[in-house]
Amino acid sequence: MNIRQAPQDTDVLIVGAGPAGGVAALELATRGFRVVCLEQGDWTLPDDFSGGKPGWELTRLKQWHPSPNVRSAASDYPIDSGDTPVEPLMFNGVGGSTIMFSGHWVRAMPSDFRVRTLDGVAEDWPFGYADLRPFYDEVTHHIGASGLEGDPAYPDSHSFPLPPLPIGKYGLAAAKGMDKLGWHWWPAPNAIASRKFKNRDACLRYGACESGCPVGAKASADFTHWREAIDAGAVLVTGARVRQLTVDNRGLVTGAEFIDRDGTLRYQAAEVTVLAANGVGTPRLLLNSTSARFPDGLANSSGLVGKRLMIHPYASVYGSYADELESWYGPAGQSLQSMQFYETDTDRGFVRGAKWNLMPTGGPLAQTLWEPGQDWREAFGPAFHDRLRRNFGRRAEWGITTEDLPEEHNEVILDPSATDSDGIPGVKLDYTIGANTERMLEFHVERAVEAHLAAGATSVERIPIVRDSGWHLLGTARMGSDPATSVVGEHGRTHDVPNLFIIDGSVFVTSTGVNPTATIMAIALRAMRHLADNRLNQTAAV
Amino acid sequence: MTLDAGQRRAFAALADVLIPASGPMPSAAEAGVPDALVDQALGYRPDLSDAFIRALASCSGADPEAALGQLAADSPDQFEALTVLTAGAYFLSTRVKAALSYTPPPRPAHEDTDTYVDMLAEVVDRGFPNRCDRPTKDSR
Repeated sequence: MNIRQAPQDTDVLIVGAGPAGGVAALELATRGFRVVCLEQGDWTLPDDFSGGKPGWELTRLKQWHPSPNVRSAASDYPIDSGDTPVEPLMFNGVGGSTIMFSGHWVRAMPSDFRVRTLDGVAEDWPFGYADLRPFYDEVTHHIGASGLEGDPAYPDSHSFPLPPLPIGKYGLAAAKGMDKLGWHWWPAPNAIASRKFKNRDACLRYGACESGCPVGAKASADFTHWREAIDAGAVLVTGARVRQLTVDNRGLVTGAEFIDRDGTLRYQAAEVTVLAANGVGTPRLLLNSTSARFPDGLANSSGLVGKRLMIHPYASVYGSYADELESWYGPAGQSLQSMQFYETDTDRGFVRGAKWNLMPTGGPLAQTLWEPGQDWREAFGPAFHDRLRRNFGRRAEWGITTEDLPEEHNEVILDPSATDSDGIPGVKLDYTIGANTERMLEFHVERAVEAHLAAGATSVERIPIVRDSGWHLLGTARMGSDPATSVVGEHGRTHDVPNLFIIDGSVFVTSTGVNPTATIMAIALRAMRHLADNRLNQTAAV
Repeated sequence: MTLDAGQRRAFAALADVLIPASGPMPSAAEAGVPDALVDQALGYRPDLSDAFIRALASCSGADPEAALGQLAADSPDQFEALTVLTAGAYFLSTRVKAALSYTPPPRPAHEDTDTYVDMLAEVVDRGFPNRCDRPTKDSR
């Protein structure tokens, strides 16, 4: 096959136009680098999404489903998740998974960066909360997060550029329950504009965040970074699926082979390459980039590429209330969050903890769906109206994001038996929930039941593991100082290939117990600023 | 796709069993589900067409309740397609929306901190005793 050479001279090639790629493109383009980004998906516009339209509740179950295996769009790639209790979720397109994420904008806690020191498990990160804090602050104010300063769960009083979104009637009810128990709660921080901010309109509470914001209020990276990066000179090529990274005889990355949307194999050369393709896509590309020099995949001398996958097993506890709580209103998004049981208390039988988020429960169809295996008469017939009356507008969810610890047997591997629409191997996930996390889930679910009952719930429903919850794809190319036990250093540069960087959730040493996007973007900014500041010392392919 | 007359009759026989009338809520047929609304729902979810048609064929001519029970047990994909489309079409009905008596979005995201600010003061007063902010190597 002939390979067509892309014409531009390029300092930095970025693979993936999600939030980390957006941070990289904006930082580097504004610092004078010639930047090209290859993105396998396309742009989406607010009007593309079905939220607020009649077909929303039906299409969010298919065309706008967060699982690529359900969505099966041409830009998606197959992921065999049959051996994991959690389905991996993502979006492949400009903005990446921020297009469909729920926008929980939560920074990690100081303890998250030193779990070996504090709890004797996993490893400490190569930097701490204080090192990351200025980057959290900068990204938070850049993207226009909404929240309230002063959460006592944090050691610092970090601020937000926008006031908090409404917690709603259901949030107020839940807060009263938490107060009865004396438990921590706080109006939740969200990457959703409560007022008009830069190029985004204010939230209109459709509650459709997880199927794409129909008003452009959510801080998806297409809005927060990509338009500005392109204005600064970055070149974003959509419909460009990277097949393999290439290397020279010095072991440096020279660029990427990619397949354009016409099926033509092309080549993009670059002096430096940055991977920002998420915790599944990045190991997929590295493992698929074998060569005589790197027979086990690129940057994989440690053998850890693809391993230590963490995915944050998620539990839901739903409470139904007698009062009308208007829980069809967004944001979804989170109303409240609680860190009451975030830190380790060994009396509970496990280490580390989980963050809780209170969420709305959507429209009427979401209350009346039948689950395979369920007696049909429990969902339809007269029960249909019983469920509708009991749950629609009267139901709220305490969602529980648990910290799973890194284990090498939890991994992403190539799956040559299933290929994407361009013939590139898909991946398979092997993942089991660890014993510590199992105990953590059990404990937290029972506490969330208590929280609902204290708030006046008339009934509760426990879902100990939510299958469609695998948004947080972390740890598959971990950071560290030792090349034998880590893939990248603290600024994202791979130990094996000095002009190759990884800046997405793959680099997490541990998973933290919070939604990771704020941390991913802060880490990406720290890494790319370091690259720009030290450009004269950066090894480059010629 | 468009249902033929036989398929539409078969669906109508099932629809009111799945969603009967209740209080102010109309039955599926009263709401117009077997008519234009199921066509509209199929327009949103063409991927469900095959399983939906197979579900109708499986249930055709049989006692609806017994047929639905059999379908749910033996062909969950078909039962799921049938019920997602039936309920999805039902909630497209203007009569159903009126009976639900709720104000759907959009709604401006007006701040409501005044409803909880006093409670929040108590949260702050309680503090966060478990917080782990002992000195770290990076903050020494």
